[in-house]
Parts: sequence; structure tokens; C-alpha cells
Amino acid sequence: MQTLYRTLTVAFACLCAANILAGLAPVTLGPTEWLSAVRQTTGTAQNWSMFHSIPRVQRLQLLVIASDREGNQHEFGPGLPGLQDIKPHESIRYYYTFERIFTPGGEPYRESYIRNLSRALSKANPDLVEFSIHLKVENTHPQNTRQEMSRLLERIRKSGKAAIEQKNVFGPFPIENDGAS
Amino acid sequence: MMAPVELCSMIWLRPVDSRRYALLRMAFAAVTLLHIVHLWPYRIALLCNDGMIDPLVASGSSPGFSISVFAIVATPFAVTLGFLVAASATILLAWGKLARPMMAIVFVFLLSVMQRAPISASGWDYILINLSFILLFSPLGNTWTPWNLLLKKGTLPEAQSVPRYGLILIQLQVFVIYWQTVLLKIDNYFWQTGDFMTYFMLSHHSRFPGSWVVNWQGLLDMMTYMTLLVELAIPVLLWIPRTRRIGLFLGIGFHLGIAVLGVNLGIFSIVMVSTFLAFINPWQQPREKAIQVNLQPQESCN
Repeated sequence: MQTLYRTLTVAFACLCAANILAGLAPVTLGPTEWLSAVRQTTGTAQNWSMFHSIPRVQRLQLLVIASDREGNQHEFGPGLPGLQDIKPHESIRYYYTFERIFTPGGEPYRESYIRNLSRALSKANPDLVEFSIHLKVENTHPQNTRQEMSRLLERIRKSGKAAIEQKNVFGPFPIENDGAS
Repeated sequence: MMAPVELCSMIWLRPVDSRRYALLRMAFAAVTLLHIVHLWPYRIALLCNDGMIDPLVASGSSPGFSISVFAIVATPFAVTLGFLVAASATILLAWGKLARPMMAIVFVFLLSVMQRAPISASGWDYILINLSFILLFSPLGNTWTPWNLLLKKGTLPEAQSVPRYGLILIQLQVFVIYWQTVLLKIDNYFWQTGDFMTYFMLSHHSRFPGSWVVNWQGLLDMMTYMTLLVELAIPVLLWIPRTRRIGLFLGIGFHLGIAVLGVNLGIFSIVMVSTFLAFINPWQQPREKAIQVNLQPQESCN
């Protein structure tokens, strides 16, 4: 029993150590798909890329504007459920979430967020027919090109402005009211 | 020449004082409770079906299986209940009551949050999951409570010797966290040129963002390179017994700096500093000391 316990302990420790140390391997390991599936399932992935790339966004604000049948506009917060107003700068997780939803690669999350927004707006006011999402981002380097980056600090020094404001509008998207009115 | 079996035994099974695990367990429970408190305001928005993240999109976003209790338990009341259960589990874990089942509950909770809302995950979520996975299968020193370990009050349990594999795995994890991030950073243009800290201080992560930053570029360039050196040095200094105090001083100072200069990065710093406990040994036993004298180079990671 003691030998079995010791053997299992050593086997477990060796496997865990191999998984951890593989995080430093200079080359991609052979069965990567299988390995990442196991790592993802058990939460033991080794991706420690904290602040590897430079952050661009200085401030991010979101607003949902919906129109009713008469064309009147109504403002809502982007938080779900409840369409509450949130301050992403202070709330780091909302910040991460919104930043990832509205950047390339976040399309599946964006589509489902829009669906849930539509449902929440329909519940909040059955007269609403469509809505759009207004995203205001203060970016240090909006184009994100090497050329822009090389002149960025010079631009800030001359203008005294650290970031440039960018406005994006997503939509309009229809609100399905399930034939309620 | 040492046989592989003996080598494995020496690396993983050498006995250490169970109080080292007890201290780590208590620190882990405390930082996880802090993490749960931090997550509390977001729980409905991120984990309920009516929230911001679709469960099907979340489960299909990465390879492998998505194991999340919040895929089933998705109403605001049930999610809140899940948080209260996890918070209670951390308190019981700190006290060493049903430590193994409580550690399992905490692990499942952390994994469930990450699998249900991967798009909201931050670096410290992953660190906590990895730590909980290792501790789930490690000795936990559960005869010790914070009352008798830290305050030396009540009936003190007898000190036990347990295998050290859990501590070594956490030490390795700390190494890889710091070294992998340095390896990635040295390949990046802005870390190479030293500009990173300037951009960091301009971004939403900065506690004091603004154009003032560009006038301090020389200092910030130096800080960029210092960051890389410090991240490389921390695990090595912690690992070698003679430099451990310097490692602790440098590591705590570094993470204090991150917490002060960055917004919302305090929990990350606390989580990282808590992992340093896997290196320190306030209860070195006479036998361990004797081994260290005889096997100084091999023992350096203990």
C-alpha cells in the first residue's frame, strides 16, 4: 500500500512538473491539441503572457441607444442583465470583457451579447424596435501601425494629449418583441 | 550514480514539516476569499444566462471539455448561492476543517468561473486554478488552524513530516510564471526598446495616466529593463536558501510597485506574493538541517 502510494505520488508529481516545465519549452510540443485540451479542461494551461504586448486603450465607454416606433431615442447602460450603467475603468472585469468583445476575435461573444441585449431591451420596453451600441474609446495609438508607434511619443509631447478619441457605432440591430404589442 | 527511483524519491518525497503546507493552505484560502469578494459584483453579469456571456459560446471557445457548474446553475439566486458556498469553503479550508473536500470545492468553483467566462479572465484567475490543482493533491497540514499556527494559542498539534512534492511543484510553477513571461517579453519590440513602461503608464492600467509620462521616458525605459531583470531574478533568489531574504524583499517590493502604479492589479500582486510561501521554511527540522549540510547543492530548492 505504502509502495503504491509512493509510486502514484511520484507519477503525479512528474506529470505535473512536465506540464509546468513544458511552459518553458522553446519549441511547440508534438501532441499540442491533445495537450491543450487536457490543460484547458483541468485549468492547468501555462500561458503567462502578462503585459507581453503593450496596452493601447486609455478609456472605454459604452452606451446603448434604442429607438421606439415613433422614432424617439432611449439611452441604456450596457450591463446585462438589467441594462445598468457601468464604469469599465473602475471595474476591471467589465473592462476586459468589453475590450475583448469589441476587438477582432471577439465576434462570437459580440453576436451573443447583441442577442442578449435585444432580449433585455424588449423586456425593458416592448415599444422599442431597434438599437445600436455606441463605443467611445480613447486610444493612445488608434491605427496600431509601427509607423504610428514610432511617432507616438513625439505626438504626445507636442500636443500634450495622451490619447485620441475614437467613436464606433455597432448596429442598428432589430429588437424582437415576440409580437407582444 | 543515483538510481532513477532514488532520485525521484529525493526530489519529491523528502519529508518536510507539515506546517509549511498549513501556512500555504491558509494563505491560499485567504487570497481566494479576496478573489471571491472581488468577483462578487460581477457574478450575475458574467455567470448567469441572461448576462453578457453566452454559455454555448464560452464552452466552445477552447479545446477540451468545459466543466462549469455555472453552465447548469445559471439563475441569479443559484449563482449567488454558489459564491456563498465557495466563500464558506475557503473559510473552512483556512481552518483545516474538511480541508480536502473544501479544496475540491474551491478548485471546482475557480475552474467553473474560468470556463463559464473565459473572456473576462485575468492572469491571477489562472494562477489560482493552477495552485488549487496542485494543492488538491498535496498534503495540507490540516491539523493546524490559523489560531495555533500563527498565534500559537490553544492546544498545539504535533508537528508531522510529509512529502514535499506539493511545495516543489508550486516552486516550479512560480519559476515558469516569471520566466515564461520574460521569454515572451524579450521577443517584443517595445520591451526591447524599453518603451513598455511608458505605454503602460499611458494606458487604462495606470493609476496616474496622462501626457506627463513622456517627460519621464528615460526613467521609464530603465524601469522596463529592470522589470525583466527582476522577473528573472525573483525565483532564482527565492530558490537558493542564502539569497531567499533578498528574493523576498525584491519580490514583495516589485509586486508592491505593480499594485501602486497599476489600477486593479492589487489581487494579482497578493496572489503572487502568497506563492513565495512555498519557498520559505520557518520550521526547519534538525534532520532537514543535517541533510542540507550534507547535500547543500541538491537541497537548495527546499
